[in-house]
Amino acid sequence: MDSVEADFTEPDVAAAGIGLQGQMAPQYNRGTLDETVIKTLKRDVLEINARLKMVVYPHFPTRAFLQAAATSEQQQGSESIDSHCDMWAPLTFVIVYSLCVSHAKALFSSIFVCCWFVLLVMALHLRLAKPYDNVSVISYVSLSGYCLFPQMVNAVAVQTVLPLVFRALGRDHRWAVRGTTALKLLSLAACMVWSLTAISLVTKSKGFVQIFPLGLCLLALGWISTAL
Amino acid sequence: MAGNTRYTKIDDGLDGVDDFLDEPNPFEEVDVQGPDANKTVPDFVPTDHVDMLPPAYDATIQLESDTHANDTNNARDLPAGFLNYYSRYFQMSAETLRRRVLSTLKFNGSIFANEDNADISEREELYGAVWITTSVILIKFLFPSLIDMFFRQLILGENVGKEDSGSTLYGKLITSVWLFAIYTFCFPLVVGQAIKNRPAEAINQKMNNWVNLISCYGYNNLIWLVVFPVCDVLTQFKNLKLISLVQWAIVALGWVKSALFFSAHLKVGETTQALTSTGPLLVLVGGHAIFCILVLVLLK
Repeated sequence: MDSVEADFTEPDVAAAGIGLQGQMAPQYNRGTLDETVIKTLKRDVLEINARLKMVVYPHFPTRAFLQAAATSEQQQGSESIDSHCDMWAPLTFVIVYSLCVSHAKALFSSIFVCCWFVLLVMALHLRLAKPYDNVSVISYVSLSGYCLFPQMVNAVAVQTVLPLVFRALGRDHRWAVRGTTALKLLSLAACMVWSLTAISLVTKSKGFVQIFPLGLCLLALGWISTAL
Repeated sequence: MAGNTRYTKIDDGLDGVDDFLDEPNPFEEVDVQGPDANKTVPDFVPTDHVDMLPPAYDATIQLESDTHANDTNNARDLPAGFLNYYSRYFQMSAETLRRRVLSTLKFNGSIFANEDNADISEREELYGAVWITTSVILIKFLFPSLIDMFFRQLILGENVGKEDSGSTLYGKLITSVWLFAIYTFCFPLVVGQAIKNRPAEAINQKMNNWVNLISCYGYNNLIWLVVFPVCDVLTQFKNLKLISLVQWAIVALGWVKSALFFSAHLKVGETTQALTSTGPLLVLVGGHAIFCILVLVLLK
């Protein structure tokens, strides 16, 4: 009978009950192989959410809110942000963003590549503008990817939610068109400020020279989701 | 307990604790003396308390700046394959950027003017070339749809179909990316070959450096930040026959401004006599004319 072998095994000391000789065989923690897919996904989503709490959520919508709501826990967490490089969240955000903007049509691949290119450009800019900070390019890609979350929210709102509302109000109604357009621009501005505040604070970018390129890149992504 | 010592004298022939039983245990002395037994510390030289004070605030700042200066020097020693090697081209102050942008907007202005005393790390930079060009591309992508959104959707309340315009807009974005990238970062290499080996009295030697040459092209792109929005606003009145001609005239004015900008960078000192006898200016201006035509045709 075929069996699935774990990539690595490590003794689970607590569960093994070492010291009770002959009573219980030592058990081994087989990574994620012994847990259900739902449990694995749930844990990953919770981890992404925990990191979003550190990187993105507190900065909504502006820097002023952050200063009022900053806690010591967040400040401690900011030290561990730089060394952590998780790519699952950026990948998820980029896929959702690309799906919403392209409506799952031919533009999907172009927008997907474009998103990763923009993230790479942002990471390279941060690495080149702040060479004294001991943060790798891949960590900056991850951080920038997390700060893409507001842009993903904007894409979902502008490309999915607002058209549904627009359709419900009636396509030919002039005020519906005006209202939808105004909401699109408002959503773009809010999410733009949100992601720019988040990335400038998390990467400790200061001054026009460091923040302006980040704003350009985020504005490009925001406008793609609004105008296309 | 004394009888147990005879067992410890037996050497079992294996490496282990029994090999060190005859040697003094260094940790036992510490236990015997205790914390109050002897206050003297070996190799301790008593000094005046003034020497033990922490450094003043200014001294700390000085130390940090020294550390960064050392890091900069280390980065300069790196080979070109390292990413940190290129960080020197992106280290610049907002003041330098502002001065160079203002110089570019002037007629006959040079981005290298009044920079003889500037920090050497800021003289050669690619920050302006990269991000000004990116701004131009973004303006070209953003402005037409922004005007369309404001005029037709927000003011007139017209429902604009986006099925075709979306892919057209994205196609123009991609076209402008490669067009400006080639013109700003590849064409200067061709110009550099034309300038190469020219005598110092004929060509400003700062332009013999490819970084300065790319910088010059990058800052020159600033003119498009004015030309593109004006042309896009005029496009809204495309029903008028003369609009196309007006657009060409505006681009031609931009071309004249660029020609003056290039000539200001090529000339040596205050004289312009050397320019008329040299071909590099023709290469620069001719190349820019072709680029202007391509922009008008491809991005219209």
